[in-house]
Amino acid sequence: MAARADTMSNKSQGWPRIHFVYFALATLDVLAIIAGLLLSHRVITSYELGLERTAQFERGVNLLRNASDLLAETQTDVAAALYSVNVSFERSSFLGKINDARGFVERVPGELSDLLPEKAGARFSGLLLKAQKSIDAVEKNGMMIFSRVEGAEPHEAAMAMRQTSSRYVSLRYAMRDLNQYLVINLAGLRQADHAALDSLRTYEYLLGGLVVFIILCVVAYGHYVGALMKRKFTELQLALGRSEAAEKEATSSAASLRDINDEIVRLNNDLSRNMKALGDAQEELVRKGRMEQLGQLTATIAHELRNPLGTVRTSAFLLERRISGKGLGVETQFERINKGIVRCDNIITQLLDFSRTRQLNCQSGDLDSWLEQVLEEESKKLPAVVTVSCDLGLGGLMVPFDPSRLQRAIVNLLNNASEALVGQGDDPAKFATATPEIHVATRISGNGVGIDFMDNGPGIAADILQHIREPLFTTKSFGTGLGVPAIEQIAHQHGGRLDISSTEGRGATFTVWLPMTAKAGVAA
Amino acid sequence: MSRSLNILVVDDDAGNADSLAELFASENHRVIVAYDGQQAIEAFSLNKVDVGFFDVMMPNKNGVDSFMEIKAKHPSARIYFMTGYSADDLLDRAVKGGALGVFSKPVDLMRILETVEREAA
Repeated sequence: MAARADTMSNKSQGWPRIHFVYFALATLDVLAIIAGLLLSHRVITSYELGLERTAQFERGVNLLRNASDLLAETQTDVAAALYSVNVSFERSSFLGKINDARGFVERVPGELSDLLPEKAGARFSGLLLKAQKSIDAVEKNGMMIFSRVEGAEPHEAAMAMRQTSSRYVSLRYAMRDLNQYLVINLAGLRQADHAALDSLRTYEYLLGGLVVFIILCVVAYGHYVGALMKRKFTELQLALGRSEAAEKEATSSAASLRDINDEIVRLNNDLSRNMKALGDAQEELVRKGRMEQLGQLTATIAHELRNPLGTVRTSAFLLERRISGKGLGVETQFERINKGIVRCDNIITQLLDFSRTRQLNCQSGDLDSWLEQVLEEESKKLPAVVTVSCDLGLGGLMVPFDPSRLQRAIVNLLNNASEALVGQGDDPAKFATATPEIHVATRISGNGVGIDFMDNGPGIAADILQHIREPLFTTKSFGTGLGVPAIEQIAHQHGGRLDISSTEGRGATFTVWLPMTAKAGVAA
Repeated sequence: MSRSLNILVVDDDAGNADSLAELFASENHRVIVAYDGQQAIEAFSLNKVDVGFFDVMMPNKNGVDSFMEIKAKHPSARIYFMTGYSADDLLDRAVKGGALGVFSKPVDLMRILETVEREAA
């Protein structure tokens, strides 16, 4: 902004001064041109006037010369009269020449009338009059001679002839004076013209000086204005540079502001993410805390219940042995006792599966081989009517897993599927299908391996599917509602997940996904 | 015909210990009963024990610690464990220290009798 204000102030103060000087120089220039034109006009006029005057003088002088020549010739005419046989011819020739000469002389003042100054004019008129009188005297003398000759008075004629010479001498002098006077005056006029031209030349020099001065002024001022403009241009450039720098700075400031803003947004996002993570971690801690408490409680209960269960089982066994074969008919009761013990044990096992928080003991192993073995072992414990088939496709892939925990998940999955197919397996009327079948398959997908448990049971209704992962949710009269949560818990502990998909009436598929690489620090 | 064994049953739950002792006795074996880990060690030092069935969680001294002590004195001792829930760390130690097997409580009686039968053979 400061740079822009500078430029503004220069514009308001510097430029009008330049305009004024330019205006003055231009005016001076125009005046010099006008003066030059006037001067040259004067020079030309003077020159023309000089030429005109010279011509006038020359014409005057010529007239006089012609008159003089004619008058000189009249002396011959007069002289011839004495011996002429035709005097009248001589007389008319004489008179013609005298008249012509007089006519020439009379025209001279007309030619020179405006050339001679007044005083000179008077002197010229005097000389002219004297010349005219001399002509008159010559004429009178001549006419007297001609009349004497014609009157046959030779003596008188000769007397007159003697006077003729003096008359012509006077005439010659008079004409010479007139001529000289004109020549003198012409010289004077020429001198005056020269003087006038000299003075004009002085003006010319002055004008030339003025023009040179103006040119110098223009050059100097041009130089000054050039320098000024250069300075202004430099200033402008600097200002522009500053403005550009300022703009750049503004742009970079804007960019860094944007960066800061982005950073703040990012930090904000991080913060909210961290807050969420913290919240999740807190929830997880609370959940873990609860799970740990539940785990401890379950462990205690399991221990406390399994001891008396063991006592009951052993005692019942001993009792059965003692009274067997005595026909007391208590076999059914003993069977009930044993089934009750098994059921209690299963409930405790499920509780332990779900609440177990101990860190996994993962080892890399051939999952397919291990699974095949487990399935063979565990399928024996299912009702005989249920067929278990498998299609293992990992091709000896080594996968990290905790065998005892994963086995619990598999037992739960098999039990769930079996119960969906045949319930407790003791009442064929309750079987979902005549050929209950569980198909187990393994496959690789992305970074994980999937173990599918597919059954051809009744499937799971959508509303049940929604709640199936919730602890204690059960549709069975004999379930704890911890089977599916326990499976999911075990999958999560491995860093994997449990997928459940089912269409009602077309069986269900439970898939345990395990990562191919071990999850660090796994706990419930 | 299998021979008669000297069996040590160790369990702080008297009902359990006594009923198992009765079961083994009914199979013509001599049974010694101990109700905690310390008693088990004493019983081992005072008697010739062919096979032992130890509970894990017990007062005074747990089954695994007493097993380790016994095993240090009698490296050839044959001992099985019984547990109400899998106390994995302890059991791992026991298995690594030479325990022969683990029975979950309530013990599957057919399995335990088969085991005893095998020991007696």
